[in-house]
Amino acid sequence: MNCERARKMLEQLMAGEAHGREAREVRIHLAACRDCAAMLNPSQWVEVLPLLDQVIEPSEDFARRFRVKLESRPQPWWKSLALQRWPRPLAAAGSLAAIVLAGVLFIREPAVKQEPVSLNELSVAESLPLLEDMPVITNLDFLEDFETIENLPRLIKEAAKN
Amino acid sequence: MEAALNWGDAMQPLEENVPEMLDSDAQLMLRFRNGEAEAFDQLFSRHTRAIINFAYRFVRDRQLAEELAQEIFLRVYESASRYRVEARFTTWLYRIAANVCLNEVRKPHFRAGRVPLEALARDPRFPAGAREAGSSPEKLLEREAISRAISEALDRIPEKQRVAFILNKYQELSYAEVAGIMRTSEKAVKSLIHRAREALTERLKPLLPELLNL
Repeated sequence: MNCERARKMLEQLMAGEAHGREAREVRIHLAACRDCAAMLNPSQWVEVLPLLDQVIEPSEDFARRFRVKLESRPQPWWKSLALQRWPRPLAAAGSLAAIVLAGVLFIREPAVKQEPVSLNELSVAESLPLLEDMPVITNLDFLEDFETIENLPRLIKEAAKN
Repeated sequence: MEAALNWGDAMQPLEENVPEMLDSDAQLMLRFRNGEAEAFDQLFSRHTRAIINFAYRFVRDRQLAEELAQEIFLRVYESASRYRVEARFTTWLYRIAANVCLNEVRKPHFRAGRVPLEALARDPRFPAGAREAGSSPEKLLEREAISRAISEALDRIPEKQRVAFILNKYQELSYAEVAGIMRTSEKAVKSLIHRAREALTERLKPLLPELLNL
């Protein structure tokens, strides 16, 4: 960059119309050229300051230290499950299995809701062998009634005495 | 200032299905958001030096500047899922960086450690003779003294002016980009930089001829 161009660009720099590489080239010229620097007023000198200031380079192990910091930072509890590290096919297979299982459970659910089983029904179920002999029991009941009928005259006499 | 640089609120995102319109940094960030870890590595490599130097302008301590840069990249990493393409990636990056650096310099212990500018002017290593500054130990010490003088002057200007000046003059960002980072207008940025320049001129006027070895 020549002096004429640098001085013209300085105006743009002061007006904020030059930035990036263009601005840097102007500053480099102004800092290196005694003639141009001699023409600068104090306000324009300030434009050259960034070039005079220190520039630091990252430490060699900067990236490594960042990785360590990244890995050692506290994780939210849900991330401790490490779900995000699962391979995508495995995650997809797991999701599919969950959907299928939910579907099977839904299908096996009876359509009509049954009433809750009562204690009486439980006792009947426990006496199932007895229930199978129900006709005999019915006959026994009849015989029991027959005895009552047979004793009926005696029962009437006793009632009359009283 | 904190509110001015608050980057958490929602803005209308650009269309993300037109990646050719995005700057390459934003494309990398979107790729990282979608699970490509290598994309973050590339962003990290691209911006490490600039971010460390940006932090260094505020704290003037290499080790602390690197720690702040790590904190900045960590926030970028952790914010990836919330990243939306609002503007250039650097706008978002420097907004995070400015918040982290300002939080640091606002701490009481940091303010307590500042050296008066007058004391620097009496430093035997000063003036610098910047044009002749080479790599000899003496010149490096002189350069450090210049740096400290500039730093002290920058420390004394208001935060907004300092951020705008550093972003525009050191990071070489345009007024429009600085305005985007600071969530203000270009006109306001122009005014901030003008006032910063005046304040720095006033503070460094006695030292400027020596700084430039005139």
